[in-house]
Amino acid sequence: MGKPTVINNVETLAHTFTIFKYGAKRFYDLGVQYSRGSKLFSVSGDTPKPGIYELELGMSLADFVEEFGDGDTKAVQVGGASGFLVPRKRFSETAIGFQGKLVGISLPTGGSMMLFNSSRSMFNVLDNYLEFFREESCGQCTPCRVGCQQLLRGIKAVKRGEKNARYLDKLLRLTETMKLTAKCGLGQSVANSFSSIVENFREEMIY
Amino acid sequence: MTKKIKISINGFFVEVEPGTTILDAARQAGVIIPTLCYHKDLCIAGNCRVCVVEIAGQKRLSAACATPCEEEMEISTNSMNVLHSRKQIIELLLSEHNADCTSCFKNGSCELQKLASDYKILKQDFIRLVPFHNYTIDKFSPSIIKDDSKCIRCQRCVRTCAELQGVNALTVAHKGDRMKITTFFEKPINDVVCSTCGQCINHCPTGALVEKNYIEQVWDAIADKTKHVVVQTAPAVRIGLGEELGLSVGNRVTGKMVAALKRLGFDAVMDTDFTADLTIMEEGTELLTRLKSVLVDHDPTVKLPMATSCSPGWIKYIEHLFPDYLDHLSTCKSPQQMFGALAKTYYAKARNLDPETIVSVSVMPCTAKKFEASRPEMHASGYRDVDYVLTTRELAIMIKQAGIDFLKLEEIHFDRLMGESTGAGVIFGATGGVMEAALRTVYELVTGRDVPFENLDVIPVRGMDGVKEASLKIENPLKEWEFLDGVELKCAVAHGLVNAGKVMDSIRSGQSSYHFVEFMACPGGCLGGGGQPIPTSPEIRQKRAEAIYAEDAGMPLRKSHQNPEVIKIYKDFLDHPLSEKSHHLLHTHYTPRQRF
Repeated sequence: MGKPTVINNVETLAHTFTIFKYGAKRFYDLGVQYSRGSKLFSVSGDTPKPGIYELELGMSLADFVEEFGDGDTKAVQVGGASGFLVPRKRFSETAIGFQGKLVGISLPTGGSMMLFNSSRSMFNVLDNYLEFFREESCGQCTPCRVGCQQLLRGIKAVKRGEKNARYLDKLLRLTETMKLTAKCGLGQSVANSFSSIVENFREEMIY
Repeated sequence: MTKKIKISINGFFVEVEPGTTILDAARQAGVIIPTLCYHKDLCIAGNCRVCVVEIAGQKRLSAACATPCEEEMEISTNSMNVLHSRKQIIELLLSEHNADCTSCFKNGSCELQKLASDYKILKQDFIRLVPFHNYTIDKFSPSIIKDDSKCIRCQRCVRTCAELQGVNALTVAHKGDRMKITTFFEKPINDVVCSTCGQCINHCPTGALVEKNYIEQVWDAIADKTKHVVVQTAPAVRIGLGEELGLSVGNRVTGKMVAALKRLGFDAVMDTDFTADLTIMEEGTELLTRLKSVLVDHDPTVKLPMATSCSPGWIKYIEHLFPDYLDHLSTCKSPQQMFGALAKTYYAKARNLDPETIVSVSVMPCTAKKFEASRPEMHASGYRDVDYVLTTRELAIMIKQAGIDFLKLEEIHFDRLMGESTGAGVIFGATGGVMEAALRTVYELVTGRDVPFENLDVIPVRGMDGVKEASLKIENPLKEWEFLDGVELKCAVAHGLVNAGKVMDSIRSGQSSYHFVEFMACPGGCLGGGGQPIPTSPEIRQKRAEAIYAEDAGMPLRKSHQNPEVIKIYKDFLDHPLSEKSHHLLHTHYTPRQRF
């Protein structure tokens, strides 16, 4: 009735419970400067122990892979399909938290961590994400509706050799346009996984 | 006075009223930002993203149509970010659009084509998406063709159907790559609640929604030496046609239009205004008869208010949405159908022609007229009364095809017999016009005096308010109409089906005490019809209305019952209004339809 309404997700309410039970200090002592406390993560992919885990924020991705990897981890997708793919060479410089070095704010949104080992084709991974976006786009705004279709068909065309490798640069420019002009966060965030996968695993897109 | 907001656009300072969008502010400053999903008639959607601009300090670009100006905003409409993005968005739209422009009805008048032409995107290497979709063209309606392969999902049609018309025949279905504009259960347009008003066509930026055109059939008929081709032109055509042929909005081209039709090869060029006058005679008499039945005879089967029946979009709307109120409709056919029935009877007889050889063509500001002409009951002459209906736009196309230099034509008059009209017939083209024309005649019929308004201008029913009301007290009537003495005749005028719906709701709830209501399907009446030149906007409708009233003011005769050819047809052929012959040729019945 004209009053603002607070809407909290389950995770926030669960945190409230632990903070009340163990005190604010104990929660605050966890984590790093801007990312305090712990967080639930959904760990999946090439890992011997998939599941839901509570981890301290600020943990480096190298430590994470040490804990959950199968010894052959090639890359980790942080933050689901709208998040970023981090290749092995960047594990030690990347932290999981709101202000992580590489990927920052988008990191813990859903708490999704997906591990890929060397048996995985990053082309297939991207193909899967784009199929998801093509379907999940509501279809209202042009950059997202048509952009997602072009990205998906575009990488397939490059893979089949119907478009030359430089077409990937056009698609990268397209994700930039989507980031700048899409109406909502969905279309704006397609660029994250697309550019981090294409830039780090370009040869897998082509050959 | 509210304080103005100071902003800069491309480095130039501008002051605008608070609440002004960036799009409007830019236009005020002489900067045109391209748009597609934006339309002055409709709410803001902000979904095409063609109008994006860069605002200093913001990471992302903003849609100019959907962003209000804020103090000290620094806006760039042409930065490299904007240009690159805008070009890429246009290229994306072209990649999902069936850009087979040379075979498109909208070739030359398509807003997407215009953008493509302005931005000259010469290297378009996005993958063509049209072949991956299983598009079929919906051609079942006699009025509207819907081709999804040309649709850019701007949703102007959806907003038109919902906001202007309150019909909601068109809606968005599915999402992502499958998102499309469709109907209830994806049925053909002809099988759903569609009024065939054609406002969606008038608001579509591309060729996704166009009228079913009968240009080839009309050329064939003209070329056929065994056929006598008669054409009638609606009141609103003469004030819209010029827009399609290089004249500014609001130019009246009646005489040139007649000359052009003659040059196209029509055997007789006559005027729907004549049957508009005739409609007033029939409908006015029907109103008085109804008033007597209710007020004197207390006949419960006779319904008031009586609703006008000249707008076929309105007729189809009420048949779908208020099927239990069809006995409120005047039984009069629309002027087009009256003309059609008379062309193959009265005219044929007078000119000694076999009605079989007559091809009856009408030029209308309307797409619903195409549907109306195809109704099975419209065969009163023993033949299809109106064979082909052309929109104002189609006539302009024929004039261009024939190589007629329209502006150089000498003005000529309509052919005799059914070519004479009065100012009352002319104003049928504007919202409130039928009401005004009816009041001019009915009041005089009942009292023997002119309608009590200066220069016969019934101002309360004019203008662009969605619902207008007027009342007229009848005093000292002639002896025959004594029962009306002291009766306050209450009238209402609604235009745009969303307003028609409001009035119908008030009638249904028993709150209205109207005797007579004029309903027009299209905003502004016929002058804003679905078959009128594109674009149509509030300002354009206003100018067209001014042209119509100027035409009326300039006519020597301004009351339907003064029309000498109307007097003649009653003397020679019909006897009197509501005669048996009138009933057969000029009146009709209606069909309840489903609500979806």
